[in-house]
Amino acid sequence: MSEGPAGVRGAAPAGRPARRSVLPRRLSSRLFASHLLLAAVALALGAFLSRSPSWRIGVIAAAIVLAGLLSGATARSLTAPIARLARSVRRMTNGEPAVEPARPEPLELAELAAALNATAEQLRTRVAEIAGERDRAAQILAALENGVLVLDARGGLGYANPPARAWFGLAEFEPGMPAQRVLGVLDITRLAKQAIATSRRASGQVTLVFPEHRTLAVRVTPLSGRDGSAGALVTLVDLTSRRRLEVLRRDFVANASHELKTPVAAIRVLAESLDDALDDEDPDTARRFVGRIGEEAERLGRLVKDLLDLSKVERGTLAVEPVDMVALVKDVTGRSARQAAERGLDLRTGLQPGVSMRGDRAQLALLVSNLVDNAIQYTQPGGRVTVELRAQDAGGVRIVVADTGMGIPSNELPRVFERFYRIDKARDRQTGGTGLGLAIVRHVAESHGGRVTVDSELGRGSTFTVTLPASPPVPAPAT
Amino acid sequence: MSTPPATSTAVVSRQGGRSTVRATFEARLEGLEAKLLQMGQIVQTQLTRTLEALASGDLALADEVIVRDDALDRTYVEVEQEILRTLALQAPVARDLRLVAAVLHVNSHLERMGDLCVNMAKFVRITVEYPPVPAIQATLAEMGAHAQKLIAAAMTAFARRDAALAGTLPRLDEPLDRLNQQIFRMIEQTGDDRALEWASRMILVARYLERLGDHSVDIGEQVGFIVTGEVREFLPPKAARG
Repeated sequence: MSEGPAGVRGAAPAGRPARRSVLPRRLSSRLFASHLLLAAVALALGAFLSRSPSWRIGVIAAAIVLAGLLSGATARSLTAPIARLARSVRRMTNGEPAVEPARPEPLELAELAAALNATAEQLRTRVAEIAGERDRAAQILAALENGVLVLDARGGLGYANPPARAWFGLAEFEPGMPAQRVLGVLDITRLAKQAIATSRRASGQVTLVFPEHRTLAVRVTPLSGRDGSAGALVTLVDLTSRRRLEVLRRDFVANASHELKTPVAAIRVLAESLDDALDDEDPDTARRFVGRIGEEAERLGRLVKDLLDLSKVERGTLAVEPVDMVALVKDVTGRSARQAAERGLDLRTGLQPGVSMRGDRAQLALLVSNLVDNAIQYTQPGGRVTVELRAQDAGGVRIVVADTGMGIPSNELPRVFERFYRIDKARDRQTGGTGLGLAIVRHVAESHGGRVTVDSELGRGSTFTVTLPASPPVPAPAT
Repeated sequence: MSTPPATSTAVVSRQGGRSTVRATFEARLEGLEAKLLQMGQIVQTQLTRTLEALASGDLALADEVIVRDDALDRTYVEVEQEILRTLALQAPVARDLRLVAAVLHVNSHLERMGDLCVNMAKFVRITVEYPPVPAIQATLAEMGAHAQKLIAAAMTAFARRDAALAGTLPRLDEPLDRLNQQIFRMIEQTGDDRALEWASRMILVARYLERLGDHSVDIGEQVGFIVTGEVREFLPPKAARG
């Protein structure tokens, strides 16, 4: 019986020592009351019936029985609520919301129940917090642009965030499987093991071919758990586009200076030769050199013009006005007609009457003329170039320029809109292309909120399709 | 890695319900497979360099490919010896046996793929003085890209035991066969004698690239074998392979 209060005392919430003195006093007072009652009854009966010895034995026996009954009742009144409390605590661990409040009678137990409920509530809040943090961590990892992998000390893959899964073409995997088997790449495992062994960061690069061509920067940080377990956190950064941009920028500078240098050098040499020819008083040769100097100067002029056009369209400001597209295309093809005829090409147009849109007239003319010039340039004599203009059902304009030229190899298709990108540099130098035309076309299309696509078959020809909305998005994207 | 006694295949002691013999065996298989994946990666690097050398006429790069093939051959021998040792000492059964047998097959496929890269690299020297035909060169580059993807897909399927991915290999192989035919047609149209000299060599390069694809499909078949236990030839959508 005396263990009951001790147990309750032990379970009293820490930090509230005042309870300790309250609980035992209340219980002891109750016990004291019942024992006092018992003693009083026994003494009174004993005194009343003590004259006969046989009665005396009977009285004592009756007193013992009565005391036993009373003790039993007292014990039950204490243990039953404790047992009830224990049952509801057990139910609570199985997920029930709260301890059912004990009846008001044993006050201590009601307090215990309240304390347990408070503890349980606190636990629930903590668990919810932890779960929330875990979810947030998972969301952060999922939202990262970079790939994240977690490896255990043996090189087993424990976690891969969505970008990493996408890059490695990974759907489901069994956690703990060797990373090199799941990823199909050895270097990441090697770096992770190195990082774990040395407790230092390790980094490297991995090139993937499957499912896509991709270059990844790999950075491995060793992890150590509180329980002494080791592992590695691998972060992956996709270098594919960054590297491509870097190459593009370098190429642009190199190409631009090279392209500018070539005609300048030619003009210098030709001028010296002209000087010699004049000394020799050879007017025919001199005239030939003058002609060549003119050609080179023209090429230089074309290049500078294209560079200026490109920088103009790349500045991104559009002078938007209503544009009669039929007139615009007619104007451009009219100017190209002579060039097409000189090359023995059949230049045709198919223009839907009344097609117009809002846009930058000068830039749209640049778009059409570059597409037409491009088609004329890459089509052999006897071929055909067609320019079609149609209103789109959903509003906006579609311009299709098709040729029967040499076509573009399919692996070059994605790159033809890059600046200075040329499929055959040697040939282009002869035909006088600057390698900037299609870059200008793409830029104008995109700044008008449209796009340009190309279909091509080697030896059969190419078709460039530009789709433009009825008016450019406002404000025009400053790209 | 400690080598268990040759005669003992019985359970020696148990650690968490798993015998140490079994654990050693699994570690051994894992090491074997890591080496095989390494072979796969060397082959992929070799192919990348070969294609670069062919496109640019870079003789030094071509020579590098030829020299590096020795490393591939060494790894090939190592893997083969390790397989024989495993078969002799561990006598694997069921799926383990299938895996070991498949590694044996894939190993020899990879070695031959390495040889094909060397064959192609040797053409760089022979053809460097002849004018290339840009269209054929572009088609070869396209074939090369397909072959690269196919090899990577085959090795990934093998590493993951992904029979479904392995099953897609014949479809990935299809463009290689088609482009190979296309090269033949292009060469027929080549008029210039010196260009023809170059182009005639490129017929073989195209053929080797197409063979690389076939080897990759065969590796895929081995994946199917490990998973299902059935030896089944992956048939191309149109039965025109080989």
